[in-house]
Amino acid sequence: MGNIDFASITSQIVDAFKVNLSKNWKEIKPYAEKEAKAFTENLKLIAELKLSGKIDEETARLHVEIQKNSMRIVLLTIKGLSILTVENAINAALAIIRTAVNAAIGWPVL
Amino acid sequence: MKKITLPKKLPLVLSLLLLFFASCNSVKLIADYNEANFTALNEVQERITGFFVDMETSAGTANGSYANHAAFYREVKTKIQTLKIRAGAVEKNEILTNQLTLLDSSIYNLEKLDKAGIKPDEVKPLKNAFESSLTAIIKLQLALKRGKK
Repeated sequence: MGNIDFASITSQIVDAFKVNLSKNWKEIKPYAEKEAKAFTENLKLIAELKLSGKIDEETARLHVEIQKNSMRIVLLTIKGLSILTVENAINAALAIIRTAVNAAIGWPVL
Repeated sequence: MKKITLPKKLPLVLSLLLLFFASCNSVKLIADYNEANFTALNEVQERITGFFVDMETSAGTANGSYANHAAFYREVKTKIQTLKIRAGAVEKNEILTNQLTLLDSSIYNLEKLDKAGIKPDEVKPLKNAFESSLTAIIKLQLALKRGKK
């Protein structure tokens, strides 16, 4: 076990984290932006309905609650996707460690 | 300048830590994909989408009244609540459970709006909200496949 290059392993793990986490944001960003825009537009529609007198305050409130729930669901999905990304990054790091240990020992002990 | 010396046992400790972490096959931070739940979610999505397709033409008319939708609400609420029970029984599935709770709440609010009478101009923001919600829930479930076919 004395010939494990810890500095190299650390560097590889950091790279794996960078790749996984930045890939996640690249995928999530357009989705998050699209949903944020849709949420705002829907609120604008509801405001117009209220201001024009087509719906009353209670009706507007119910509409807004539905929109808020929708945004919360979207945020939960973003949270879930981020958790998956962290999971992938951790498992990538574990694979690096496993490879390094097996290489140092000379046979696949892990 | 004082020379900093590392403890002699540090390489051994690091080696043991590496062995420990590498012995873990993999880590799961969130529940697995579940085919039965995914199928049930798709059924819920179809029913809700169907409701709004009808409402786009029938809102504000006799055909678009709440009286014609009682079966829809009963069916969708039952499906969502059944899904919540199943999701709640699985470890690390809190996100789906919370999403279903929010969807359930939205269906209850939709029903209140329907009882008061949904006007044609109200359909668009409602349809958009439910589409966003359902897309988000299904999007995460698909991601949970983790490379499974």
